[in-house]
Amino acid sequence: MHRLPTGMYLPGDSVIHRLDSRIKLLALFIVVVSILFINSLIGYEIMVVFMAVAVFLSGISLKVALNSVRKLSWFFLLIFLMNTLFYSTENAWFSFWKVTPSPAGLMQGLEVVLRVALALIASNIMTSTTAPMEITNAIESLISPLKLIGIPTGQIAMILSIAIQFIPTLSEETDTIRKAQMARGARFDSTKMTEKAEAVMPLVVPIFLAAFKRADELSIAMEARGYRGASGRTRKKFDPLKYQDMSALAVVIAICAVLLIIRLKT
Amino acid sequence: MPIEINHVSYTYFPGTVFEAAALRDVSLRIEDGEYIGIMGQTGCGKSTLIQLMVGLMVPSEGKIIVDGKDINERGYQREELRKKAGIVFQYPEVQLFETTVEKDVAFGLKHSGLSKTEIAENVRWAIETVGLDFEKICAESPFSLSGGEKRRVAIAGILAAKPKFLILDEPIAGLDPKGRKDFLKLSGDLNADGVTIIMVSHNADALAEYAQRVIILDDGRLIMDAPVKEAFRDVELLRDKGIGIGQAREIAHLLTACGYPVPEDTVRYKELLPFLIGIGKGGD
Repeated sequence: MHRLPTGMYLPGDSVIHRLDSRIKLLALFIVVVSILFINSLIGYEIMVVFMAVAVFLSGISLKVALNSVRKLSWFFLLIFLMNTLFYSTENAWFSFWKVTPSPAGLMQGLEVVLRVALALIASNIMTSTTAPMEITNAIESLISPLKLIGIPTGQIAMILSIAIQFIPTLSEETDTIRKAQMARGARFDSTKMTEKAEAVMPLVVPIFLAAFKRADELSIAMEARGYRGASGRTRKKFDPLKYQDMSALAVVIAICAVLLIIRLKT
Repeated sequence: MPIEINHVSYTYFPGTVFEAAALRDVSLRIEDGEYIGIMGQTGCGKSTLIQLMVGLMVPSEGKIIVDGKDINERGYQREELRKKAGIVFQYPEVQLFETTVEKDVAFGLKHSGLSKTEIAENVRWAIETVGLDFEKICAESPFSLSGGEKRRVAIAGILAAKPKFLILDEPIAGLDPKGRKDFLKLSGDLNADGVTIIMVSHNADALAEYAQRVIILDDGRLIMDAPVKEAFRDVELLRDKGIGIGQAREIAHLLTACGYPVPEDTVRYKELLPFLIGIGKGGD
């Protein structure tokens, strides 16, 4: 673990950090949905400006915000090329076998890339400014209406929060096991396919064993402290929504409403 | 193969909010055949230091020179270094994964270039060296063993490569008293056979008994690099830095404070014993 993973929570005190996590999650959902129905240049312009403002307000650097996009650049290139080459046969510049690069395909490719990139940046802002536990709390409260139709939302939230809490522990454990095996001769950095495949077992077996052992210990620890199922669990901290939270949500809804109107008019 | 650590610093996550210096300008030299103890509080940089020594991490600044070659230079054969260096991490039993003890111990030798008979010989030697019965255990699954046996098997897996220097990170933590004694004796025997031993431990008594030199880290800085007797002399300094001092040293220190003529460089039980007997005979 020498580089920070993309989208990792970066503690801070920006406007966006201080927003309620439920509002942020809801806003993310609204933004991603509205990115999907944008179909005009002006719509994309509004969205790009909105994202730029959000990145600025969140206090995370532009580099961090664009990190996820940069990491997926090969994927973006691929979907861009696929769209350009195969999307449409009309007005194709030339045609060779099934390959028909066309202006419509080019535009479609750009649009898909832009959409995915914007959605990635939006989620990146969310996860970089919200602690993982806050996110699971937000999910719990947003899915709580499902309780009415018999879905155990409390337990789902419990599973999520345990899973998230264990990510750092398991990744540290993986790191140690990887180093231990490397030190005694495993070759994870080999370029030979056979050696690469061989190198999986010494890593996977100990990691699974460690994970199951931890799960076992955790369940015993939880029962020893009187855990009787997640339903009806109360929370230690309860933050009512603040004026800022409501106005932030209002701004997001307003922007998305504008985007929807533009979509309907064109 | 002497190890030279030249003004090495290591910083985790530089340039982010998580930036943390683990080592600050550490320099030291380890000669062939030494038995060295590394001490320090949790988080002082011990683990970082030992991982840098075998090239599992790359220093942010400074150089690590093994056998006269910079191990982080381009073109350096890391695999050669790993053949010569063995590292036993904390709780090494987590690294077991094979179906039988024999296969697990042999894992590290797969790419060693040794012949089948040589590998079999090394494996047998390693399993017997850690005090297990080869015939009885070789076909067992490593997961069916007891905790202490698992650790022995894991250590055998590292010894099988016959490393020239062996790094041990808290090897006796969680072992029963007999397991500890056996393991320390094993480390001493290996050292007597010419293996350089670098042992990270909080157990000052164990280090006093076996190590020739002690290195103490505090918040990433090297604050002590001296022969055992000298390193444990200043009890107040060690207490101040949160370093455990051994019982033998503690008793000697108390006796000195009470006016008994115990030398301030007493660190081993064996050295302490004549004084205790003398005091007992004196009838004080």
